[in-house]
Amino acid sequence: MESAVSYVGLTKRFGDKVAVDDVTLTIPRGGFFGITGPNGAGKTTMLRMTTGLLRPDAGRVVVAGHDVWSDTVAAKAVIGLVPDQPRLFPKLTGTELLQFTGQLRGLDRTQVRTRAEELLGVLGLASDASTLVADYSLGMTKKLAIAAALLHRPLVVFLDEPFAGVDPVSRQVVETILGRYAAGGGTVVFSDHAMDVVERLCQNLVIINDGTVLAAGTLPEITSGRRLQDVFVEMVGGAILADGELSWLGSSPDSN
Amino acid sequence: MVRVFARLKLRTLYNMARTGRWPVLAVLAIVVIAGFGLGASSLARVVVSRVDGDPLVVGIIYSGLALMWVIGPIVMASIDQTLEPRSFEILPLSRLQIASGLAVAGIVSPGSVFTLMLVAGVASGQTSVYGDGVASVGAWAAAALVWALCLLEARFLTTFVSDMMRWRRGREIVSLVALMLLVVPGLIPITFVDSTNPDFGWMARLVRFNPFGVLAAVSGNLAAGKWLLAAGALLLGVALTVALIVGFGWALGRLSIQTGDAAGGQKLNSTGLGFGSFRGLSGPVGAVAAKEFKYLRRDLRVKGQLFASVLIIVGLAYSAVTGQLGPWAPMTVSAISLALVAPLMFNTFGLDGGSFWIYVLTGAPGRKVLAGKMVAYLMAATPVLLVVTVLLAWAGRSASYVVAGFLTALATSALFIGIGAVIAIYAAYRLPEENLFATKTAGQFRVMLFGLGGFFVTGLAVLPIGVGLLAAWAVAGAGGVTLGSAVAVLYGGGVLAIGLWLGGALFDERAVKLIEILDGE
Repeated sequence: MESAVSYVGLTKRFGDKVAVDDVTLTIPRGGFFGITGPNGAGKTTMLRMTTGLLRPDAGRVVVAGHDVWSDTVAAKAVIGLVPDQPRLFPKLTGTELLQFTGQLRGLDRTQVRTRAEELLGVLGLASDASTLVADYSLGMTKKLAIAAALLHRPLVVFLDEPFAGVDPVSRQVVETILGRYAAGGGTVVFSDHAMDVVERLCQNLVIINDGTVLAAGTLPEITSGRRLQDVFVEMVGGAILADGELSWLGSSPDSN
Repeated sequence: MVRVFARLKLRTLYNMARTGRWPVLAVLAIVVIAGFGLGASSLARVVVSRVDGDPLVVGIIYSGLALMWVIGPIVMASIDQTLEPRSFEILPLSRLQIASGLAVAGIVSPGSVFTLMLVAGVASGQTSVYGDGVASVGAWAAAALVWALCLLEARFLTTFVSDMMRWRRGREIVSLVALMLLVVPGLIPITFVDSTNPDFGWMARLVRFNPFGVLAAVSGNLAAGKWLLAAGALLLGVALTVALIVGFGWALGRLSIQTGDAAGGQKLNSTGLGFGSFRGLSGPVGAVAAKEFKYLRRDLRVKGQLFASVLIIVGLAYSAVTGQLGPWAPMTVSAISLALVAPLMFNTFGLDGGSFWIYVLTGAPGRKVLAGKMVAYLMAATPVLLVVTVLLAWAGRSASYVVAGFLTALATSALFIGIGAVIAIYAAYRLPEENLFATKTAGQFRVMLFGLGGFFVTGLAVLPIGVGLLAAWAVAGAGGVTLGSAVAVLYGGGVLAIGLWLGGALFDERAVKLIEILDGE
C-alpha cells in the first residue's frame, strides 16, 4: 500500500518528559486516518513534528515521499494543517487571510481569489469574509483555518481536533468537504478525542498513550467488532470509581 | 469574605513566585518593595526636607503616584485576575462582598505597600520641615488620603472598564489611553529640552491644582495658618474618597446588569480583493508587504509605536523651529526615521506573535518574508520622511538641506531595516495582541541582550553617515552634504541587501525555534 506519511523512530523529549517515544508508523494514502489518545498522549507534538513546526530529537517523517526535515520546502508544499487552537493573523479579514496564505504558497492570485470565495461560501463564512479574524469565534476561526489548509489542494491535510468548538451544522459541512477531498485521493489525518467521530470517519487509526503506539491498523482490526470507546478505555486505562468514592454526590442536595 | 480575598491574593502572589519564569521576578519584586520602597521612602523624606516641603515637589510625587495607579490596573488586569471583578461574577456574592474583597485584593499588593511607604516618606519629610504640630497631623492625613485615593481610583477604573476589556475594540481603546498617559509625561521634558526658553508654568499649574497637588499643600498651609485652605483640601480628599467608593459600587452594579452579548465584530469596507496587488508585487513578497501595510493601519501595537514616533517628531520639529539646525537637519530627520522604522523592524516577528507558524508551514523562504516586511516599512516611512524633511527645512529655514535631509533619512531607514532584519531573528519577543503592556516571553535576558546589542550595532553603523556628512559640510558646505547623503543612500542600501541575505538565511535556520518563542506558551 502506498503511504501518505511514514514515521521511523520519531522521538521528542521536553526535559525529562518523553512526549513521543520512538514511533514507527505508516499512514496509507487516501481516506481518513485517526490519531487518538488521551490528553497529553503526544498527538499534537506528533502532528507538529509531521508538519515541520517542531524539530524531532530523533527519527524521520516522510510525507508523500518528501522528508519533512531534509526536503522541507517540497514537503510543506503538499501539507495542510489545522492546529487545535489556530492562531491566524488577527488583524486580517477572513478573505485577506486566505489570500495571504495562498500567495505565501505561491498560488496564482486569481486562483486564490476564486477558491477563497468558494471555500468561505461553503463554510458559511461569506457574510463574515470582511470581518477581522480577531472578531471571529473559535468555531469560525477553525473553519477559516480549514479553508486555509485546503486552499492549495494539499496531498495530505492534518487536523488537530478539528471539530472542537464547531457547531453541528458546520461539522457536517466540514465532514462533507473533507469527504470530497478524500474521495479525490487526498489523505485526511486528524486527531480527536471523540470516538464516535473517529469510528464514523476513519478507515485506519492509531491509538497512542504516553508517546508510544498502543495499536495501529484498520478500524475492524483494532476493535474486533466492539465499540471503539470501550477498546480505547481498556487500552489507555480509564479511572473507575471505587465503592464509596464521591458517595456524597449521589445524595440529596437537602442533606448538605 | 474579605479574609478569603486576601488569602486568594497572597496565594496568587505565592504561586507566581514559585512557578516557571517567575522566581526571578518574585525576588525582584521583594527587592523592589524592601529596597526600592524603603529607598524611595527615604529619598522622598530627604527631597521634601531639602526643598522645604515645596508643595510643587510633593504635588509632583503625589500626582505621579495617582497617574501610576491609573495605568497600573490596566497593565495588571491581564496578569492579576484577583483585580478583575468579572472573575467573581459566577459566585453567589453580594455587591458589597465583591467590593470589599476587591478593595482588599488591591491593598494586598506590592504596589500598595510601595505607595504606602512613599507617602509615609513624604509625610515624614513634611513633618521634619513643619514640626510635630498640627501641620504634621495634616501631612499624615493628606498622605493617608492620597494612599486611599490611589487604591480606590484603581478599583473604580478596573471595574469601570471591565466590560470594555472583554472586547477587542474596548481593550484597544483602554490600552491606547494608558499608553498616552504613560508616554506623554515622559516625553514632555525630552520635547522641551532643546528649547531656549521653556515654559513649564502650565505644568506647575496642572500639578498644583489637581486634587493630589492640593493635598500636597495641606501641611504647608497649616503651618502658614491658612486653615481654611487646608481644611478645604482635606474635605476635598474625603469627598473624593467617598465619591470613588460610591463610583466603585455603581460600576459593580453596572456590571451585574450587563448581558455582555454585544460583541458584533468589526466589519471592514475593504473586501481585501486587492490584497496581492501591492505595488505590483506578487507571491510571498507581495503578500507579506500587503499584510504589513494593513497591520500598520490596524494593529494597536503598531499604532501605539507610531503615536510615540509622532510625539518625537513634534519634539524635533519644535527644536527645528526654535533654532537653526543647519547641517544637523539631515541627522535630525534620520533620528525621525529611527523612531519610525527601527522599533517596528527590530521586533517585527514579535508583532506576528503566535501567527508566525503560518510563514513556516507555508514554506515561504525567509528572504522573501523579510523582503515583504522591508518593502512595507520603507513604503510607509518614505512619504512621512519626505513631508517631515520639507517641514523641518521650512521651519528651520534650511532649504538647502532638503534633498540631503530626505536622502539621509532614506539611507538610515534602509540601514535600520537591514540591521533590524538580523536582530529580528535573535531578539524576537512576543507582544500579545490585546495588551500593549503584557509582555511574557522566554529567555527575556537573552532577548534584552540581543536587543541592546542591536541598538549598539545600529549606532556604530550610522556613525559613518553622521561623521561623513559633517566632514562633507566642513569641506564643501550644503553641496557637500547633498553629495554625502547620496553616498549614504548607497551605504544604507548595501546594509539593507546584506541584512536581507543574512536575515533570510537565519530565518530559515531558526524558524522552528522562533515558533516556540513566539507561541509564548
